[in-house]
Amino acid sequence: MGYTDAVLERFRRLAHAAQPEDVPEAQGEAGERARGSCVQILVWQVPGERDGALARVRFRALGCPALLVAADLACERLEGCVPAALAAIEPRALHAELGLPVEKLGQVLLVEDAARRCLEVLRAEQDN
Amino acid sequence: MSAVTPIYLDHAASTPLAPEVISAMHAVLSDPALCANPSSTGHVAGRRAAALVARARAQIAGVVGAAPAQVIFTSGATESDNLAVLGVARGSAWRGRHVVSSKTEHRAVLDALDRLEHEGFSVTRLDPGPLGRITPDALADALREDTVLVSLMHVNNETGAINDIAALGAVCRQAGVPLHVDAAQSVGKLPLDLQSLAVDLLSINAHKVNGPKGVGALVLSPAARRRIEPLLFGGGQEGALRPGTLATHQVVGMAEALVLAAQRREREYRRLQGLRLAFWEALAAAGGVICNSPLDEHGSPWILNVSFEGVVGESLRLALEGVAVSGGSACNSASGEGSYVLRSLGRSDLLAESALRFSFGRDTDEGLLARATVDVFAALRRLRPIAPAEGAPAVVHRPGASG
Repeated sequence: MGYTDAVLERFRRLAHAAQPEDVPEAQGEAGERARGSCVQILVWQVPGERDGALARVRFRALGCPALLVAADLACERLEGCVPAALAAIEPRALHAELGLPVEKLGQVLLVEDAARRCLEVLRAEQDN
Repeated sequence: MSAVTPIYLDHAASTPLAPEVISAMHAVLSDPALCANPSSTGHVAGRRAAALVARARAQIAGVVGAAPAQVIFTSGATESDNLAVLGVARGSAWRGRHVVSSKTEHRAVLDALDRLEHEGFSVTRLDPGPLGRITPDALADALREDTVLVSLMHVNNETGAINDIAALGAVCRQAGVPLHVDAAQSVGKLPLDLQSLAVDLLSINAHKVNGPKGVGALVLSPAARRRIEPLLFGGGQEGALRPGTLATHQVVGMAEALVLAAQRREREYRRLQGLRLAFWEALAAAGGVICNSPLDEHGSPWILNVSFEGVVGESLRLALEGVAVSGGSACNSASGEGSYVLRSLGRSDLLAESALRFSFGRDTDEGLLARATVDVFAALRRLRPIAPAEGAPAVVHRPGASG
């Protein structure tokens, strides 16, 4: 699989990978671990506000490099945004920015699904 | 791009040229007197080139226990596989239209079989046993009145599992069906003597044993020669079975590589058997590591296939910047499917996705494998913590949330 320099460089760092001890306020998951492709988006809000900005966004993932770097880039973009941004990821834009092979678009769509579910969980928690 | 030369553990994909091979090929390439077409035997320059080709053909035949006339040069094992499978099936179609093979063959055979099915042939693809080998009983059960060819590999290119081609050949000979063996991963590495084996067609190459890429051969019995049709047309070379001008330097390089490999075969077998076992034991210490290769005499010492729990092979391979290895498969993001070979052996999709193939060669030694082990452990320490824990709850904690 040929990856771009942008992918290789981001894969080396994966600066937004969660630490094992991280405990988020909410997380959303997509994909199937049993098939070797699943991703979680984890978020922490600025305290005290229902729509407070996402102070910290991290990911956990089991998958190919495309999934890992797409999740990493999505987390980077989401930090500092309002929670609604979790439902506004543009997978094709991420896919294009990273220069991923066309057959890897599905991996970026998984990241989109995980972020959307994360928002649903966050809202449900806030409504409780 | 790193300036550091990676630890090369991908010899089942290809190998560096041996210095002796470079010298032999260079001698041909640099001598203007050897530039002629080896088919141009009407002049002395052509006859010189033809003599080199004849010598190479005899050397290669000697390595596999065949007569020189049985060796047909091709562009590599893929072409040899295609020629054997398509050529014999098509040439025997008047007798029957059934072919037997296995699910773990190389794509060069599997895709040729798909082609035959499009042409109206029926194909039986045998499941391997737990060790990845095809049993003689399973083969015997699959043979039919209209079977015109059996195609089975000698050594599996992903796991290194060794088929007992002597026993499989005996089944075929009993039934009067020609056996084609893809020996791309075994020629020069395991004993191959066509005088004692009931093998009618043998696909071989050179670049897995420190020879040049772009050249191979199909070695075929006189009986198979009578049944095979060419795939290419346009000249009388190679008995009109594989027309095209022969590349003298390539066939000379192939012969040199195979002769060298045959001379070193037994010593290399013993050396790599020990190294492979020690490497496996070192990797196993990481925990969550599953060996997909037979580690006994049923596995090639040149190949070790390992699944690593908690990572996907493609990511592990990319994280191993200092080690050149192959994945068990290319990640198929649409289906999530891993290696078809490993899945045929009963491995889950996840384990098939998490496999790496380490393959060894002449330059592989204890020091290189120790360095590779360190790199693998470091990559696992980096990637495994990123993977979600199995069965993790969707919401773990929300500060201040009322219960």
